[in-house]
Amino acid sequence: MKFLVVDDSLTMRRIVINTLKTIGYAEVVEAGDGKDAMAKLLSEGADFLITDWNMPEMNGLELTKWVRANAQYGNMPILMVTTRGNKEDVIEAMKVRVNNYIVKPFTAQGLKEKIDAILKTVETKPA
Amino acid sequence: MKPDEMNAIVKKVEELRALMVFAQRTMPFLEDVFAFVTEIVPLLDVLRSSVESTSEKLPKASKQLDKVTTATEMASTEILNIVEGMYAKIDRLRAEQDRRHKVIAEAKEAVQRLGKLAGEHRTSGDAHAAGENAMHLLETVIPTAEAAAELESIQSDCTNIMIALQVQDITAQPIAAVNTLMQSVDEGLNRLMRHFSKTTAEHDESKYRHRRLDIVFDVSAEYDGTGDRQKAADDVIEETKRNGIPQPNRPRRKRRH
Repeated sequence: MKFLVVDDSLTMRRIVINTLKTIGYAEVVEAGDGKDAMAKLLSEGADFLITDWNMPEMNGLELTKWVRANAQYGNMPILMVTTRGNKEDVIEAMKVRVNNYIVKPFTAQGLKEKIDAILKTVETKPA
Repeated sequence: MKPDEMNAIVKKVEELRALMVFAQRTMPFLEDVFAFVTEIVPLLDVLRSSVESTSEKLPKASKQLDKVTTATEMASTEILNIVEGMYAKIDRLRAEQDRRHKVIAEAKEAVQRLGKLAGEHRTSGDAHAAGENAMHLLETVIPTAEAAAELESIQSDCTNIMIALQVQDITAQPIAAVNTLMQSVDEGLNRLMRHFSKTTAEHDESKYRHRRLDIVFDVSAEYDGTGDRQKAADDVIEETKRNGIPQPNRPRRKRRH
């Protein structure tokens, strides 16, 4: 499974990518903001999107809206990983149809559980 | 002198007298105003120099904040480099363990075959003993389950160190927020300064533009290791899945009777 990790912080991208490797996902593409992510998705493809919210150029919410409206990637699993933990923020993210939501700082176990839960839902969802 | 002219002079004298009475009454008040101005002018001067000095210090403070963020980012990068190096070493050790397992399994098979051959050829008991000894020695160099568990534990420690480095991204955001706040305070002080002096100096935004502070930030970002914020987010997600996304509260219309 190929992951697309989007965050404007290089440190955060490295942390997420290394954590993914430790839980068994080695194939990863990375992007520094929403626009970069759009280009990477179209050129390199991905099966799972992990995105930050606050980013320059195009934020995580706008990226999610774009992905959901895309014919090829509209049903792609999306996990938002952000510092924003207010109720209104979570609702806002759910409105644009992220599959799940992680508030930073996350743990390796927490990230694994969220990915597993999303994949389980996606797999069991009738076509 | 004509009576009209006399009357005019008397009227003027009356007016002058009234003016003097008024001046006599207002004199203490004017004295107070004068005393107040005498006191306030040095105070305004102090205020002006204080505003000036604060306005000069703010960009320096902004630079200091940038140094903090830069240092934290550099330290995080260095730690991440080390952790990634340790992951690579752990992978190499695991690969080496796997290789040893295979080599030892092959060596044991070879020893067993030798023992069988020794039995078939009825060689001395020494050959059997040597074979058994070789098998025993091979058993001792097999990487144990404990060694594998140790490697697992070291990898887990590495992951925990790496996970803790999220503090860099999380703290950089409130620091960037403080920088923006300082910039607007400086802007306000600059406007105030124009009332005090003839300065035409404009607020210089570039003094607050630092690559590491010029980020899209979340003011509410906090490093909370309790998991409470995640729990609260999970509760909202569950509620949303159960009851749908809540609609924003609209003001209720009054019913007309």
